[in-house]
Amino acid sequence: MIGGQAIHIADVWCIFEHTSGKKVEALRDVSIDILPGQFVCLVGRSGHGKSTLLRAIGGLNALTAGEIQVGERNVIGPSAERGMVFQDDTVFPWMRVRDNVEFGLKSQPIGAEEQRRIANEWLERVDLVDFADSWPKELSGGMRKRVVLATVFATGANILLMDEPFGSLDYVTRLILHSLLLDLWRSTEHTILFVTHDVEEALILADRILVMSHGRIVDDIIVDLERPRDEEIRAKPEAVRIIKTIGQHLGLGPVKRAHEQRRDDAIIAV
Amino acid sequence: MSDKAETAASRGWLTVAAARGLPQWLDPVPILGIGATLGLWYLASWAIGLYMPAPHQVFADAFRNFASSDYFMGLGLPAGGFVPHLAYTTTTVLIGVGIGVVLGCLSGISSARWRTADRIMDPIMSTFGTVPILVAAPFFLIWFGLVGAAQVILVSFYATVIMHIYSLQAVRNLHPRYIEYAMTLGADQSTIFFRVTLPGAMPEIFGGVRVAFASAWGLAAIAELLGSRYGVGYAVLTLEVVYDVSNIMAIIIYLGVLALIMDLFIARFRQFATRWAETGKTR
Repeated sequence: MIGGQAIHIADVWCIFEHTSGKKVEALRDVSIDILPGQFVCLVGRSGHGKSTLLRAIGGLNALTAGEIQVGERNVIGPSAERGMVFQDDTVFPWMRVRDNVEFGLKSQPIGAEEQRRIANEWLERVDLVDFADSWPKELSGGMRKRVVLATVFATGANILLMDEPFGSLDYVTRLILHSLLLDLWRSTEHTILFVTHDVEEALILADRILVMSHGRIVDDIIVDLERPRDEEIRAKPEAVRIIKTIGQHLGLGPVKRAHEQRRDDAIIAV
Repeated sequence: MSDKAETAASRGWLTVAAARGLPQWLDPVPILGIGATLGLWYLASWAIGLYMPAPHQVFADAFRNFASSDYFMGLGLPAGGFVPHLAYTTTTVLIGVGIGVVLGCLSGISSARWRTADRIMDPIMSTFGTVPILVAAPFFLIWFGLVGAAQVILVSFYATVIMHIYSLQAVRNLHPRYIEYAMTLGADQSTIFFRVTLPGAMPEIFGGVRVAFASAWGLAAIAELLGSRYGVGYAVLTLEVVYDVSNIMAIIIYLGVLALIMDLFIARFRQFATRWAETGKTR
């Protein structure tokens, strides 16, 4: 399926109560619109609401107030139209790779042969055909991430919610997976929301970077750099300005908005 | 380097057999252990005398009375030697643990899933589970003794408690991320249960099955000791009247061998059923 859906987030609050009775405002009045097919990175420090927002869109966290809409419908729970990739390894170890990829398809009204065909297609696209009959324990961490990617793409979710998916991988594996993910995104045009604390990673991937701090979205940066975003591109003045702005938001000095640091047409800070 | 040789190297000189590619049972360390036991046994029999028969006497009795015995018939036991008793106790254990696995998993898994079930089952399991068998057995014998089901029910009772605890823990220990991942892939509750929760809990449930079996042999024998017309326990009771220590030891050895074979069988089955798991988790 080609294309993604828009996500409309309006006045969302998420307040948790710890067992100690302490209340935590994980999301404070978050409103944002994400366009169909956009690759959006959510950056921020740990514990500042990125994962909470992502899980809320996934339907895994209840909202205290506000609403989240996908397409025209309110999000009330998890659904196969919003695939999630977690930081932890979620590949089911008790299923072979192929059964993992087919897992989501099994809940859909399609025949076994069609399921197999779709699974094979995605296994091919993540370059795991030769491992279709392997057990997950026989794969490396990076390969298991590719299994998850194949699974969520095969299931047909047109919104992908990724919670620091490559956080535990080594540098090279992460770069390889970045380009794989970008390839898959380009060919499917799905909407992707990608949480990361790594500003560099956000710069490689995103059309648009949302900066979160203390439960709020404090900046919304359009990244209008050409792709692929190799080292030269990321060293361009506009890229460096984005990195600086994000760093300031995250506590590395007083915030000077991008337009104050010399407004560039390519960078629109809201 | 093969896995075998690697383990051997890590354990040093002790696993000579493994290092030379010999089968596991030729490993000198267990053989040394068995040898030491036999040596001590001979020593004890020499020191104690009549009531501590030497190993070769016990083994001779074990063979002589295995499948038929006029001597046993003279004591009022069935003429078939040890076999009918061993068969009876084995049947008790198999049926008892079988029932226990089904009931214990049902209550354990539902307790893990539904708070209400947990609140109902937890007090029952934690109180009844602590009742010693010597206290519980007379009741079971009075209630079910006449229909000959007391032993089976007693074994299934304790197996249920063990399986309840193990399966409850197994489901609780399964990381919620698997459930969440399955939900975001569009799986419904029954798919999640049968394809995620159950297989994920399997390694720990097998651990429970192993413990249930291990304790079931002893429980069955004790239950028979307290009132039965068949079984290992009953045979021990009868032989005790005539101070026949040698045959008592023989039947206990048979019981031990049966338990060992059962354990190996379960271990093999578990190894196959949870072949997906990292080796560290299956052990």
